[in-house]
Amino acid sequence: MVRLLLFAGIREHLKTSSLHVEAVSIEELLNKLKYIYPEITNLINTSIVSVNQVIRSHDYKLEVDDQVAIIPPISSG
Amino acid sequence: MTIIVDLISEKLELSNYLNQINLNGKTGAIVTFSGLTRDYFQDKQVVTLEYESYKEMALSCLRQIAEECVSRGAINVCLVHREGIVGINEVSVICVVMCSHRKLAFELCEYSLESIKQIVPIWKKEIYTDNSATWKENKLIN
Repeated sequence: MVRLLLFAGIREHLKTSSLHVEAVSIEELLNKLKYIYPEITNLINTSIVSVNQVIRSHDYKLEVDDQVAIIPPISSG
Repeated sequence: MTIIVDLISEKLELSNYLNQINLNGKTGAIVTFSGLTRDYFQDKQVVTLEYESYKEMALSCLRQIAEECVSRGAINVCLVHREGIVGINEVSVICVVMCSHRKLAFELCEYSLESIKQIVPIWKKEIYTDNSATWKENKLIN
């Protein structure tokens, strides 16, 4: 089980800032989310993913207690 | 050498941060940038803005940018961003870079702002007079 952090438009759509998800890779995690919440598919497809605050590619393997964040396009500044 | 990075929900006052930095006799130039919130986007009237961050990662990215400035020759660096509700005409971000000479200070101040806009996980929502709202996306310059 990994802890998933949600921000901005994705957080608003799902009405929560975090979820716990069972997944062995980022790819599996994103596919699960898109299956359960098809309305956020576009938002997920334009986001990147960090694991323990490091940006990772979709084939990255997750471990129990990893802190995963879906990072939509940023607008800092 | 001093590095200050912060994310704050109170009004951002540049002078508060400048006063925290002791000059050591080597600083010949201080370049500061303050980014302010505008009351319009294209033909829409903006009422207020809301900033949200992934705080731990945002602070870590700000520090990474400040450390890069120091490794390129800055003496002191201060990078601070607002979060939460930010009114029109308020300062949303400041970049302060102190160097021995002005050319490098100008260069690193611009570098720090562009880096903030590229890598720091902070999101801005514009709220308009018609009650609609948009999560903005930065246009990245590579």
